[in-house]
Amino acid sequence: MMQQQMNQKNALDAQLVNAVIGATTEVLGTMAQTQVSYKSVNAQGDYMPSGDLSAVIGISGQHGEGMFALSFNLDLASLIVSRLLGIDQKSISSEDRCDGVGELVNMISGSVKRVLSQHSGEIYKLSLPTVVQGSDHTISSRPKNNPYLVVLFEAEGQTFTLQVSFKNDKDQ
Amino acid sequence: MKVLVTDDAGVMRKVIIRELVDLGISAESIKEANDGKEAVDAVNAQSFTWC
Repeated sequence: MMQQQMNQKNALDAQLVNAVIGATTEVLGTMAQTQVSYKSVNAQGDYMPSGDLSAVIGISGQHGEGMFALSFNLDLASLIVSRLLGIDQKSISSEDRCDGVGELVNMISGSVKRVLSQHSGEIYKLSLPTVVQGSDHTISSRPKNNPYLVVLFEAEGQTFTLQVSFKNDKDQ
Repeated sequence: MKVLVTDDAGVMRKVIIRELVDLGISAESIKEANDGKEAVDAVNAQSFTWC
């Protein structure tokens, strides 16, 4: 029984990572015409990547909760949002940049949410995104002791990250 | 042709409007609404081909 539970948990972890990679690649590719490549995943709990602009969104359901945090450096955020809006990168305002990154994390987490719902049969809800701006900041808003991983991507020769924390109570 | 784009996210309205302009719809014929109430008010004020 315990082995079966372990297998189910590992399957969820693998599905979660695959869903995150697939959603990030698809959303940035189709909405912002930006080719994204997956670099690595880091599951060490004390690893906190830094960025200049991050969008954080919460996910919750009857038996699970967590968060997603998408972090870019300022140049890459400007480039991707300029492509999303179809305007020149120099014309991007700070408000556009923040709203754009917030929408990106909303679309990516919406796609991941659908995968989680299909896997568990549960309905999850997303919060409104919160955007954090500041040079070289880190995000540590995950619920304490929740499983945590950081997925690293590359686009236009620059790295960006998606932090994922998700805990399904049924896995306990 | 008049088009009403309704979304609570300004960025998404801009993305949708860009796509519509790319499809050949003139920017002047596209109106925006931030929520359902604004959309209803806009429809009551004038007719739209697409909403």
